[in-house]
Amino acid sequence: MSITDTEAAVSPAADDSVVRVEGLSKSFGDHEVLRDIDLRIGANEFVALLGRSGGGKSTLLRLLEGIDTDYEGTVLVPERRSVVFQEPRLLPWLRVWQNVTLGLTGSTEALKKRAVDVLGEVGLERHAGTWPATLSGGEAQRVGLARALIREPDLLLLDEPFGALDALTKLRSHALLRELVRIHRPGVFLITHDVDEAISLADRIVVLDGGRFVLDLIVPFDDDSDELQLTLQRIKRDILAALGVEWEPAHEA
Amino acid sequence: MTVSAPQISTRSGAITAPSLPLRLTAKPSRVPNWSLRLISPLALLVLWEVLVRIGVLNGGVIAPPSKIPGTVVELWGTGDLQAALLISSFRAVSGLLIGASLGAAFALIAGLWRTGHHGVDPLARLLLPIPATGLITLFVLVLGIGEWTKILLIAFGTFFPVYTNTLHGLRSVDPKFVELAAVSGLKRGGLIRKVLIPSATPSFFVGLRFSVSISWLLLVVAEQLNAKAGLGFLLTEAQRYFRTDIIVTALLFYAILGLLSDAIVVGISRLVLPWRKEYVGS
Repeated sequence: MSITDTEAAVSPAADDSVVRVEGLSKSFGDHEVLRDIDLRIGANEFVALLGRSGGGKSTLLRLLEGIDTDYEGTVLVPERRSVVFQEPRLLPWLRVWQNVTLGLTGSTEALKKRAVDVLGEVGLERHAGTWPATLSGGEAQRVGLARALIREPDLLLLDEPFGALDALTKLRSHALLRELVRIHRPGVFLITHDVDEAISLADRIVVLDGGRFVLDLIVPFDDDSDELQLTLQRIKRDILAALGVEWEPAHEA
Repeated sequence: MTVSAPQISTRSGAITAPSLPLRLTAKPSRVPNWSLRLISPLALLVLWEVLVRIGVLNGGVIAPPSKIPGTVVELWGTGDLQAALLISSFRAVSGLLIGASLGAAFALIAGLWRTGHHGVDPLARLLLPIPATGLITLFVLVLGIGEWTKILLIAFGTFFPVYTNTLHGLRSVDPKFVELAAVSGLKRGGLIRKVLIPSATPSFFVGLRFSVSISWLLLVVAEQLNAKAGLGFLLTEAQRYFRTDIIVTALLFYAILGLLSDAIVVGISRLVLPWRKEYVGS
């Protein structure tokens, strides 16, 4: 796995992290959005980032995407990384399979075959030849997911990808994402404002507030006992507290 | 205390199937669209004929539409009409092709390279307000009264709608699509081919439709001033011999050519932009 600095090449990381952020600061004018933050995401690790609006979530993501290269500190990400955006962001003038293979090189037949395979993974192989305008919101977002997966990324960046979906589609999309991540094993960095979504999907949750990480915790998963439920409830309470929301589990009140 | 069943008391009348005061989708029409589209032009012809017949318009000065078929047959018989249509179409189409191609090319230069924008746009903005018709005298002085005067005049007039619209299309591309291209690993050539040009194509066609109508407009002007063939020549000749039926016929053919060329552009744009959905009024 190659790790490159988005600004200049430096020596690869010794550990197996897919994201290494050290002493990262970012300001817009006098407004300091990120203050000297550190973050590591291990290979295959699923990290969710929670934070209030305007708290620097999107800024951090744009730095990891490589769109914004104006910062202080170190940002190391793998070469093979892909993004699923908040909105599907499909090019309306390209057919679904051409959207999926955007930016990839190869013969048309080979690209199309690969696209149909990946579209099959998100249940949309029938739509490979259609125009994006004919898709529903959930379908379009799944095409966005296929476009990210076809690159076999070492790091998958998800920018509130389910925020605009209805509750049922969201639950189905969660299940699909969980399954795809289990198969492809990328490192995942999910930005969300949905605490339950973060708890249900991520191995680890970090909370960004005032330009710093104010919480960094592991989500327990491997037993199904009542105790786990209690632990998850407590985690939710702690996260919400970090976000400035008072919340108590109903049965503890 | 008695508990009564809840009553809905806010309902004011009987319930009906839901309907809105505004119709949002076109209802299927029993009459085909093309026949509906004939109504207003035909109404104009009928009105015109009636006004001549009842003497409101002087039939000696303005020939009634009923005289047109006879005139068409006469002109067709001598071959004058075919010759005029051919040469006029050639002028309009070649002028349009030159103007529109240059307009699109310069829009690409100005829209894709910053230095190109600084190089091209000031000149385009300077020339834009100059009416093409005002250039005729200059063109005649420099180029004489040959074909190039007419063709280049049309090229000049048709350049700007294509240039300004295509450039606007290129500059108003959704920045989110440019970001997507970047994170998808597209290089500059890919960005131009896959994102910028497709996103500007609808605007290019808007400009092209303007240019098509301008090309016919300028053709009339150019042909009336100095021509030995073409519809405009037919017009001036008819004026000389007071053949108002020929004037009316020539004008009708200008209209037909204009309609036809617009329909061709619309047809091409539908072929090139199959991904677009258009709103069709109710």
